[in-house]
Amino acid sequence: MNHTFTRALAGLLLLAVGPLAQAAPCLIFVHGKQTNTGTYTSYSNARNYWVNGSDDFIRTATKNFATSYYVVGYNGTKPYWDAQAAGEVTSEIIAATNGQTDGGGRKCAQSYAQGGSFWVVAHSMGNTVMDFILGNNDASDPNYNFNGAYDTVASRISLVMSLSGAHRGSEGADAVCAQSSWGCNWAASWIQDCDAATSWLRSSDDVQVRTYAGPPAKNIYLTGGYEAIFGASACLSGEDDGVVQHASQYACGGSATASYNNDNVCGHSNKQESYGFRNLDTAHENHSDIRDDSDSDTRRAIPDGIWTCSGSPCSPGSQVQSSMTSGKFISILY
Amino acid sequence: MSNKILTAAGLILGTAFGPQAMAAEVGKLALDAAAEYRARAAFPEWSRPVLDAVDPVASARVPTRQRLSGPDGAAPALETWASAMSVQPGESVELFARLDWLGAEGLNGLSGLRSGQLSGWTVQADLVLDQVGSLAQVELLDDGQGIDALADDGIYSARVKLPEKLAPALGTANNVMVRLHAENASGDVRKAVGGFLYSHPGAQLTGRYRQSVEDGNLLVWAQAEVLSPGRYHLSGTLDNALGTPVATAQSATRLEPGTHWLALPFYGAIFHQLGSLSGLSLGSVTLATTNGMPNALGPVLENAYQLSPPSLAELRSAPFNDPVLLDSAQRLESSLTPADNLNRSLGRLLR
Repeated sequence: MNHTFTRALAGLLLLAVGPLAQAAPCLIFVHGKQTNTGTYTSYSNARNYWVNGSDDFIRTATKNFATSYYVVGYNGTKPYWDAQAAGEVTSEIIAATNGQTDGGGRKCAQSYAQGGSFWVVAHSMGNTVMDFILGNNDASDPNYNFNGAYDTVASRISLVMSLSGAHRGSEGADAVCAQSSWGCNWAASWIQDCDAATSWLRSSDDVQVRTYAGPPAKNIYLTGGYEAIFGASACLSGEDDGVVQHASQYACGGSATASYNNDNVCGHSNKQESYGFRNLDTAHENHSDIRDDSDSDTRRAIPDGIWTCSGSPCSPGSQVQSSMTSGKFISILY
Repeated sequence: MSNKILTAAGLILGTAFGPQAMAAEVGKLALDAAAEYRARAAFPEWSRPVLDAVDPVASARVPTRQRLSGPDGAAPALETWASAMSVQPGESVELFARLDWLGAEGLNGLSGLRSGQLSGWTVQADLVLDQVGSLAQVELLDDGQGIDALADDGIYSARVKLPEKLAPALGTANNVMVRLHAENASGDVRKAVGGFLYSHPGAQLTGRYRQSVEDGNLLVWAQAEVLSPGRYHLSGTLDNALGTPVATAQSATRLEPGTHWLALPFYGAIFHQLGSLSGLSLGSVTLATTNGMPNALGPVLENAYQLSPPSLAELRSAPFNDPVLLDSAQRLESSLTPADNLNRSLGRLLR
């Protein structure tokens, strides 16, 4: 068969059948660290985590709510492994996959039993929580089902989309806990003081999630930001989003404070675990923008990333979009 | 423009005009994930081949360095590390610090460098035990004495013996945060924070091992002396005759006080990919007490046991076919559009 002809035919067929219905995944949103318990006790707080004025990450990621979704709220002042963090997230993901409603009355279109599929979208510390859950899902894991049915979560979700994940902690947390936050404007972020959650987001090995979890049972796809926040970014190594450095956003092996840029951030062969972490791309968004859809900006390729140019992986560092939020980016991935 | 239209346009343009530059296009995430899950399903989570020649058990215990730059990113940054990730009662930990001039995020400190900034720093560490308070305070020196290997090499060192009276209860661990404060004669200050675990494992490996083949898998047994009841996690890596890591395994179980044998089950099919089975050794093994967070980590023992070559015929060759991963792959594939699936089918046809 003539391959060129076949591909052309496929393209035309693709246009023809495009509008047909598909079994879109349900998106489950897991927020990041908090300085109070608001998102744990109030659904509107958890929902508004993803909103900035008229901008709404969830609206964009769900294609104007055409895709079903569920919003998780947990206690973001607790360490990532705590019952009110990993335990609560586990309970809520299971509820979502059982077809139950979230605090706002939203639910996934299909339950797991009905054949549904579920993608978790997590921001910042929400990813540390997911690393702990998905790395302790097997009876042979060090902290198997530590405070919830992690095995059920791992069996039901298909993958995680990581936004500015604190997989290796944050140098911001280091600075605050070292009492050296001089000139680094952490006041506007979630790391105002060295509380329990912040202490467990430091860069040292004794608090790293990789010390207490195995490779994730389901893939974690990594996107992050490289837009500086004045003051804070000067205190972070290499590229960063003003709160979390690239080494952490992209779950790199080795030192959590290693300096990476968009061109050389760790690829698939140098992650914090031997498998399960996959690069997507990087956006010119800061740590807040990336989860509230407020900054439609440049996106760039990174090593082992998802963008292709003329059929080949785009060159790391090259611009792949001139104006696209991470919410929009997620919406084109399913 | 929708992804589907982009794909179609690309196909048509690619056909009509050859390999010209196209707009950047995002890959099919669901398809990629499904393919990876199908491949990964060949082995269980509790035992997998080591494909990158890096021992996952040993490498996970290599202490890493933490660093913080000065005000507004000024050089030098203060870098710190410890000799071990986990220290047990009665043991000492060595702490190190270095003022890093070239690796700092901003070099604006260099432009204003004053005499005395490069040397003459005093580095002090405060070891803070979580929920308890200060464990010890110590000065790190660059004098070539004791633990400090070389005077004036820029690496400051100290050895600290942890007080046993503040040891965690048997079978538990506690985090020790190491806060460093460096200051020179000009009054420049740098701070950094590191840490390690103060572990008090409830069991220790005795150094006795044996092997067997059961249910088509190679089991390496490690003997442990258990002092306190609890949950225990054993992990280890097999090396080939060249010392290259080839397989890893883990298991966990609840144990009561006494002497017990714990199994590391290596999935049989891994060995059918290896070729020679002579010279296999347990390159690393460690036992952790996992009663709560943080876990109490035992030491990593290296080159612990030389295996007799197992019989390949006794080892299973079939893939594990992890049902969870295969189910996820199927669900991901079902989430694709009909057009995606058509492309997928055509792709297979053309291969």
